Amino acid sequence: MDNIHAGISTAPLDIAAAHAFVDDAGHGAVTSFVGVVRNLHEGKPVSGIHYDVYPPLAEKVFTEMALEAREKWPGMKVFIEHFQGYLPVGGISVLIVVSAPHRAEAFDGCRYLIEELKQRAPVWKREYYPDGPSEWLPGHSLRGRENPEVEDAPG
Amino acid sequence: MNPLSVKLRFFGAMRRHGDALDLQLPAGSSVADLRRELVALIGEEAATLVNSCAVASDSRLLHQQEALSGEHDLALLPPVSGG
Repeated sequence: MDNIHAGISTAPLDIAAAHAFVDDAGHGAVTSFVGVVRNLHEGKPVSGIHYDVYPPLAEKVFTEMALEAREKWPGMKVFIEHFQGYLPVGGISVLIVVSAPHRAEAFDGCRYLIEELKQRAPVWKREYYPDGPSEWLPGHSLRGRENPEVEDAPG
Repeated sequence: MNPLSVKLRFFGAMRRHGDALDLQLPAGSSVADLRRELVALIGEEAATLVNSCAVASDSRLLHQQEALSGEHDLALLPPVSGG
């Protein structure tokens, strides 16, 4: 789709490629969100995270989110990629880069996309610890997010 | 009518039950019936997790009362935690 990249990658995420994708002579602002595995979660040392992903649906959700952003901020260029697999501390798990004519919409668009991704994308974190068994993290339920065009039957 | 054949893929915390399960359901079964049949197969202790999951195809989330038909490749999606 023109000016939208929505993907899942098992290779390291490439910040330079994302910036090149959103490059536009008419856009004076580029903002990025780079999600990175940190070494501590709720006071517990973390050694890495495995990201489980349902790729076909994740790519569809990312594309829908990008189209929503372009509806709100016309002309915006959007790059969204999420990593699938294991990353040690410091690894890049998600990359969102947008460009727009001015900084206000570039900041707002980037913030919108990462907040929506956290609520909607079919991605699951399994945290690994240096001194204990791994754990799947709790998250946001997707129940109730079904397309309203198909209504549940009463009862 | 022929029974429904469903391949249900597991993600996140559901992977403790494997990567996928093949289920046979009576014709006319709904997503809710699929959920009940799954709990019957893997055990009542999984009911809370199964009920927190959405059921999806590779392109959309399915409604609870939606009728299934034909062969299905579906996914059971626990609460999400990406980013």
